[in-house]
Amino acid sequence: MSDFYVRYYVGHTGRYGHEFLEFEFQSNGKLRYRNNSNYKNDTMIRKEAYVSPMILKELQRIVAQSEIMKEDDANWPEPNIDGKQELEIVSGKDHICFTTSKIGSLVDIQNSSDPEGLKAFYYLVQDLKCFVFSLISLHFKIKPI
Amino acid sequence: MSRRNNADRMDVDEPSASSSSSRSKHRSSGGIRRGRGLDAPSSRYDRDEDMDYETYTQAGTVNTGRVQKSVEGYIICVTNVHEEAAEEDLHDYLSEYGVVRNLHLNLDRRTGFAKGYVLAEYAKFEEAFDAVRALDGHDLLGQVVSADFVFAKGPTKGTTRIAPE
Repeated sequence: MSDFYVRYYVGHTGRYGHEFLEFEFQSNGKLRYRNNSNYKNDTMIRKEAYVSPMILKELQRIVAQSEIMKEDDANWPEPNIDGKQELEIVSGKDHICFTTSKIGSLVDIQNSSDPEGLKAFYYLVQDLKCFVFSLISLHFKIKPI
Repeated sequence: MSRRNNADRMDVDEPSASSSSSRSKHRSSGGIRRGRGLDAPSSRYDRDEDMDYETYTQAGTVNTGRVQKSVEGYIICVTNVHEEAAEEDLHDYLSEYGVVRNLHLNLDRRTGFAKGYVLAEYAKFEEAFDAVRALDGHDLLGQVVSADFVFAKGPTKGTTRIAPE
C-alpha cells in the first residue's frame, strides 16, 4: 500500500460541549475512531484496530470512484457556528484537506455555489461513514452513534 | 495568515496543532495540494497520540496467524461484489461455510446499488477461513471477487493478505 491516508471530522460546540465524530485510516492499516458527546455526561468513545490491506484497497477504490481529488473547497460554505466537516486524504503525491459547514440535505447543496463538488463530498462522506460504522460495530459490538 | 486567524476564531476549533505532528508525514510535493484545511490544520489526532484508545486484542482458542479475532467472532470482507447482489443471496452463499452471524451489504448512497463490498461475521475461525479460501479469486454472481479477513493483530503495510496460507 503506497502512501494513503483518510481522515474525516464532523463536529460542533454547543450545549453539550464539543461534540464530534472523527475517524482515520493510516497506510499501515491503523483505523482510529472517536466519538465525543457530553450529553448526559457521556464519555468519549475511542476505538482503534488494524485492518487488512484489502480494506484499504476498498477504501482507495471508494475514494477514486468519488473523484473527490478533482474537487476544490474554495467555493464551499465555510464552517460556521452550527459545525464543521473536514475531510483529509493523502493518496500518493496528492493531498487534499477540505473543510465546510455541516450539510443538512441535498437542498443545501443545490443552493450552494458548487453543487457538483459538494455532492461528490456529501456522498463520499456518507459512504465512508457507512463503511467505518460497519467495521467498528462488527469488531467491537457497539452501535457507533 | 488571515485564514488561520479566521479558523482560530471559530468555536469548533481547538488551539492549532503542533507542527511536529503526524500529519507532516503526509506532506507531499509534486502532487495536488488543495483545500482550506491544509492552511489551518485542525487534526485532533495530532494532539492525543498518548491517549488510550480501546482495542480488542483477545485471542481465540486457535492459532490465527496475523488475523485478529473480533468481540464475537471473525469478520471477513468480500470485494468486487456485483452491484445488484441481494443480501439474501449473499447470506445463502456465505452460509455454506458456517453460520453467518452478521452480514453488512452496504449500499452506494448515490446510486442505491450495492457499494461492492460485503462484511460477514462467523463465530469460528475455521468457518471464516473456509469462506475466505473458497471465495478469494473465485466467481460470485458473475464477478471474480476477493476475500480476506478484516482485522489484523498489527500493522499490515507491505503485506497483501492476512489470511494464513
